[in-house]
Order: sequence, then C-alpha cells, then structure tokens
Amino acid sequence: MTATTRTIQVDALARVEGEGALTLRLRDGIVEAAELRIYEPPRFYEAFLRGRDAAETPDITARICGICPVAYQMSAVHAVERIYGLTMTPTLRVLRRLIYCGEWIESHVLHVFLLHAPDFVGQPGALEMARARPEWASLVKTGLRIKKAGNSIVRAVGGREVHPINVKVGGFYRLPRRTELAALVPELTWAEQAVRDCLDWSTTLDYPEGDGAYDFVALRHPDEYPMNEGRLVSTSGLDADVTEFDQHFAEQQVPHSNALQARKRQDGGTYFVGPLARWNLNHDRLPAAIQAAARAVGLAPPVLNPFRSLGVRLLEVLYAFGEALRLIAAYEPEGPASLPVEPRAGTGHAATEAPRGLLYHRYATDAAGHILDAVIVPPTSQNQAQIEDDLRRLAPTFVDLPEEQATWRAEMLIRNYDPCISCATHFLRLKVERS
Amino acid sequence: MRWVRPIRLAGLGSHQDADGLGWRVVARLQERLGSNADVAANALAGPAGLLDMLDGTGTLVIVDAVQSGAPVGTLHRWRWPGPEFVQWGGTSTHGLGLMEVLPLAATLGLLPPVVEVWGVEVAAEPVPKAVAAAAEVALVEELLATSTQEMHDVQDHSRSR
Repeated sequence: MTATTRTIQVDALARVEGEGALTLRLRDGIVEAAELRIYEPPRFYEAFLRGRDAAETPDITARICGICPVAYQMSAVHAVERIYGLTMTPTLRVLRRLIYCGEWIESHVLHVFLLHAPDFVGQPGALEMARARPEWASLVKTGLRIKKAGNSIVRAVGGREVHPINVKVGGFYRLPRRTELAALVPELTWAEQAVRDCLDWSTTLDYPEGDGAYDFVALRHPDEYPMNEGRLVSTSGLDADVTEFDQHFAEQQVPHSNALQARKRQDGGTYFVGPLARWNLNHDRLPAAIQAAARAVGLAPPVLNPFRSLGVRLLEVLYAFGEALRLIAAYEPEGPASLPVEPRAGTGHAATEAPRGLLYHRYATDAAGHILDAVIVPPTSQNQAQIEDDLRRLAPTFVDLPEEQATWRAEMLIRNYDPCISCATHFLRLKVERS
Repeated sequence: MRWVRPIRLAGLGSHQDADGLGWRVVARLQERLGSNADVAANALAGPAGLLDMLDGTGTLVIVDAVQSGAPVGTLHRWRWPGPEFVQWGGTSTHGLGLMEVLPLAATLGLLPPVVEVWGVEVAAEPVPKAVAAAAEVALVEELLATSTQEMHDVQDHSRSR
C-alpha cells in the first residue's frame, strides 16, 4: 500500500493583520508539517532604535502597528521610565489605563465583528455576512458604533485615534480636561449595554471543539485586571518579575518565517498569550458583574477552547467599558502632565497587555539617554509556535472534510489568535558567516 | 455628480516612503485647509478605518499609493462604482481591503453618495530617489490644487443656491 499525502495550502491568509501563509502537510492522516509562513518583510525596528534618544521610543515603536499603537507606547514608556527611576502620579496612571481601555475596545471589536464572526456564521467575510441577513447587518453596524466609542477614548486621551501623539516618557504632553472625558460618558454607557446584547448573540454561535492543555502566560497585578503592570505568571506556575522575561522565554528563528518564534527556555515548549491567558489567570481580578456575565454565557474559567476566544474578547470589551466609565467618573486632572526626565545609563524592562497578549520591551541606554540596545517581543511572535501546535493537534478533526472546508477550518484556527503579522515581523536574526 | 458636503478626505498608508503618500497628502491638506467644519482630512492605517468616518452623507475622497504598471507619478482618479474597481479583487492581506470596506459601507447604508479614489502611481522597482521625490511633490501639488478647486466649486455652488 502506498502512503497518501495531502497538503492544505493557503498562500495568503485573509482576515488577519499582515501577510502570512499556511502549509499543512499530512501523510496517512498524520501531520508531517504545520507551518505558519510569515513572508511579510522584516522591519528592523530594534536596529534603527539604536542611537536614538529613548524619549523617541513611544512615537517610533507605535508605528510598528496601526491596530495596537497604544500597547507599543505603553511598553516603551514604562521600560524607559524604569531606567530613569520615574513613578507615575495617580492621575497619569489613570490616563494610561484609560487609553489602554480604548485600544482594547478598538482592536477586539474590529476582530470580533469584522474578522472573526464570519467564521461562525458560515460566511467568507463581513461583507457577505452583512448581505446575508438583516440581523447580521445590524450586528455589524452595532459593532462599528461600539468600536467608535473605543476610538473616542483613544482620541480624547491620546490626541488622535491612530498612532496617538499625546503619550511621552514621563507622562503626557497635555492632561485632558474633565469635561472632555465626561463628554464621552453617554456613548460609552450605550456601548456597554450594546456589548451585553452582543454577548447574548455570541451564545447562539456554533463553536468547534478545541480544548487544549495550554500553558497560558499573562501579567498579574495585585488588585487589577492587568494592562500596564504586573508580574509574569503562567498556568504551569511561573511567577516572575518582568525583568526576568529573558530568563524564561527565548525567541528563535525558524526557516519558514520572517518572524521570530518565542518558546519557553525551560523545556522548549510553546505558550499562549492573549485574552484567554489573561482571562484564565486573572479572573479573580474582575468585578463581580463581569464574572456573572461570564457565567451567564458559559465562559467561567478555565476556558481552554481557543474558538471561544470570541466571547472572551467581548467580555474584555465589556470590562474595558466599565473600567473606562469608572476611571472617567473619578478623574481629576491633578498634578503635572508629565514628570521631569533625567536621562541616565541603565537597562529597563516592561511588559504590558496588548489586545493580543503580552508585549515585552527592553532598552539599554547610555548616560545621555541614547539607546544602546532594544528588544521587542510582540504577542504574535509568542503565539506563533502555539498556533502551529494547534494546527498539528486539531488537524485530524478537519482534514477529512472537503478541501475548501478543511482550509477554512485551518484559517479559522489561526484567526482565533487575532494574529498581527505586521507586529511580528519587526526583526529578523541575521547570521553572517565569514571565512 | 459634483462633490457634496461634508467632504471627508482619507489618506491610506503608513509612514513608509512610497506607502506614506496618502498620509503626506492628507497632512498637507490639513495644513492648507485649516479648521473647516465642512472638510475633514484623516490619515488611516487601513481601509477599515473608513468605516469609522462615514455616515451615508457627503463626499468621500480616498488617497492612496497605487501600483498598476503606469509610469511613476501618474495620477489616477476613479469614481465609485466604476469598472476599474471590479479588477481590484475582494480581499486584502491586511485585515479588510478597500474592496471589502466600500461594498460593506454601502450594504450598511454608510457609504456617501459621492466616493472618489485618488491614486498616485508609485514604483514597484526602485527608481532614483530624486526622480520619485520630484514626481511625488509635483503630483501632491496637483492633487491639492484640484481638490482645493473642487472645494471652492462646492462653496460657490452652495452660495449660488
């Protein structure tokens, strides 16, 4: 008997951010290769940060991503501020959390309603979904309005919606007035209720089985659901300071991808960052109302099925609206817009929770505050190997389907992670051999 | 159909050289226009951002870099929905493509009655920097002059009513 081979090939993944492809090769039903091929060219951000003033890091690194620039700004400023020994005032801390709420809303809502939802209603995209049924068109329209509410937070705190311009090392260029934030409240309140309605809709969807024994990794804060601060924790028991990131995780080059893949140093295993990781590791940090909403839609932790990430993203959006309203209600623009900055030599580490997961930055500066070395590990780099593991593990559940359906299921599995390929291709390790 | 108010100008792209054309044009338009309640110019990282700008009224003008094989610097001006759009295909490798966003906006009742795409041809292969820069500056000016004229026409038209 001759062996039968089958290859599922997607040359250009749709409904993800950036340019990637997929190869899934099977022999007699056994997965021989599962490769998320990222061919988007590397962008060398870490290399051209060298020699720049560390004060430029929030504006330069924000350009890595048009979807999650706030995450890059937050990780950058916190890392540099650790070198300079700065501690944010309560007002500045509140504003940083508030702008992060806005970005979570923008990014999650874009993914849920325009990129991910079509997978669960059997439509190739948001356009076809909106055309297929009036109630789905209404849902997409509602999603767009919810997203605009998130945009309004980023604009009010950050100065504009894309690549905000108000964030700086030491704080902000300008504190928003109380009235500017209060003006957002009616629409945020509407959006919070709209998300509750959308959560009900999410329970009507048919989710494939997919439970896995994942090692989730996220930040954990003593009191809050994590955004800007916390320790590195994992399902397998890690509990480390962010400065120890490099001791626990390492990026490596693989031949088929222009993006580095991160793995655990201890055993070379994969790990999972993002909404599911935050959810499972920090559920006790959520308000009782969010925990109740989660129970009502069957998403009390542990949530081990990556296809259920759609509902978890909606729950994080619900939390972000509630948190934004709480922060705005208590907001008093007290103290300076920014703290004085005195450059010094040193090394600073920071990790924050980007919508897609943990985003780690490390900078080394000289006495004048010029960058000597920069390391940026985005969430998609960390999830890449995990995505390939999922493909290997779950391929047997769909490879017997007709070609088109099997390909769709493989793509759907990748979209569970909301990968941002443009973020992941920020660096390529170059090895030059000379004789 | 002439442009109708409010006019929304959207530059698509990034900070990168050729792809940054849409943003640079929008930045210059913002400078030139100042504060004008009837005209708004926005730089967008991708077509999906258009959905946040639209409410079914006025005029949308999208500015983007184009590679169609025409000489570098060629100015394209297309009125939606024209035959040119059919060959652009439906999907994008960056979230949502323009050819998904415009029909989606139409389906949701968000697309304005007037939609134009202004494309400026950029190089697929490297060309001498000075040549590319000169062509771009000249065409940015032409784009500005034309759009400014259109806006004056809109205002004149409005006054004569």
